[in-house]
Amino acid sequence: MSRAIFLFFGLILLAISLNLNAQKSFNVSASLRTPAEYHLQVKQFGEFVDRFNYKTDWKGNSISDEFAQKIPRANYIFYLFNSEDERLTNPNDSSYRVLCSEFIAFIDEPNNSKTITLFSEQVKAYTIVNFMYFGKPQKAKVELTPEVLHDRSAKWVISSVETDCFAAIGDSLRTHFIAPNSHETSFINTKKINGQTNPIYYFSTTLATNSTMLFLTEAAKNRIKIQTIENVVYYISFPGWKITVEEFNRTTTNSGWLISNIEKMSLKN
Amino acid sequence: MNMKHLLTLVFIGFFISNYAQEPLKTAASSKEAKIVDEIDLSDSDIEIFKEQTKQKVEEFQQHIVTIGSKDQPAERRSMAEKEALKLFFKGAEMQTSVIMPDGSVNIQSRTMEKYLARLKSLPYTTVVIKFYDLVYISSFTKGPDGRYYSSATVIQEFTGFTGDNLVYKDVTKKEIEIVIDLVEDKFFNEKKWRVFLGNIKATETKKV
Repeated sequence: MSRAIFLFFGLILLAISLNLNAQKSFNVSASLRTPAEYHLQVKQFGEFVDRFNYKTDWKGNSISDEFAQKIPRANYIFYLFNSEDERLTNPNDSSYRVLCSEFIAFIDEPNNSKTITLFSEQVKAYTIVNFMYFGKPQKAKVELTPEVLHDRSAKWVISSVETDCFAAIGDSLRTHFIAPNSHETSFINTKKINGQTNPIYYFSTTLATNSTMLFLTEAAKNRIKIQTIENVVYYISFPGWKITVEEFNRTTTNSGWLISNIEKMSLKN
Repeated sequence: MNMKHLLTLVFIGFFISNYAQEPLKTAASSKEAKIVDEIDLSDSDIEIFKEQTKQKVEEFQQHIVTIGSKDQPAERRSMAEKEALKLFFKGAEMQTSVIMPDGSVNIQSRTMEKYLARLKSLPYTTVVIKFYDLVYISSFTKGPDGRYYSSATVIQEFTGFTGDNLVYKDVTKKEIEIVIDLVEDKFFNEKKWRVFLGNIKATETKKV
């Protein structure tokens, strides 16, 4: 009897052990050691912001004193520039190099260092949206901005759409309108809106030709079908400066989200 | 005015002031709004979320390896496909960008169902998918729906063979949308944070 009990518990232990091993094998067994260039590349835009703000090192850990001693912020920011930009190596023109140095000095100013706050008016994103409109492929340049709500949550919102696919609206505006003498008949012509598939024709030309408004109304009618999104570019502003951040998809250590341009702005901007 | 009235007024004033500060779901200008990154989350919460996210991403990676492996029984691959889909929010899409021989980039978008089904029927006799050990997880930000949002980056090495010949190899970087939702666990009668995967942006970084 005791032998049977011993065997029973032995089987249970074996089953538990096998089950534990099965759960362990859920980890990616065939994972490879990540090549160094993938640690160095700026994989996400948020990672760019964290590195720019001197918050995290190349492995995503908080900046330690040891790291700070080896790589001061000014040097670290320089790794965030597109090093293949010819303006950085042009022997005949050093103006962009000087501008970059001036910008880094501005960001890393002692006792007045500047950072990027993602969810603020400091950051704007632009992207190219490919969509189908009346069976034809079209493109639109879409501006997105972050919006912060009172409950401290956040979201991105579309703030403008630029596209030339609504150019034909000019013809419709010549045939759909409220006649110039309508004021004499108590604007009865306003009723023309009733049953109209596109009542925007009867609104001010500024509104009726506004591509953001037209994109919105056409999307509401299910006439727009977004296919893919490409070429995301970020513009980040600081007092007197504007930088452009783009994704450089290449295999070198200097790749991912990098500064592609720096502009000095007048302080009014 | 006696002390009682004074206290009542103070109480009403305090109540009105609190009521006025009740969070409204309207947009605030960034000047008023504070930085939202990681707000309402303690360091320990973030660590737990990161660990859970890592586990979920690894689970997805393991399913991808199984679905792509032609030497695995068809039943097991189909099971992995079903289990992988359970990790995602309904309607999640995969956008892939591939570098064409002329240097242009071809971008395609598919539903996750289509992407996984396609992965199962690739025209190679053997497929080997491996992931690098790096999983980069960004900070967590609260969305207007109360869920927390983040992104995880993983890097995948894909090799396709026809017979013994290597016919295709590439390295793809995948950015995975992470959604952390408070869901009700009916068994324990409590609410628990659960990690879901969302849309994925896959970028081919290297063709070998």
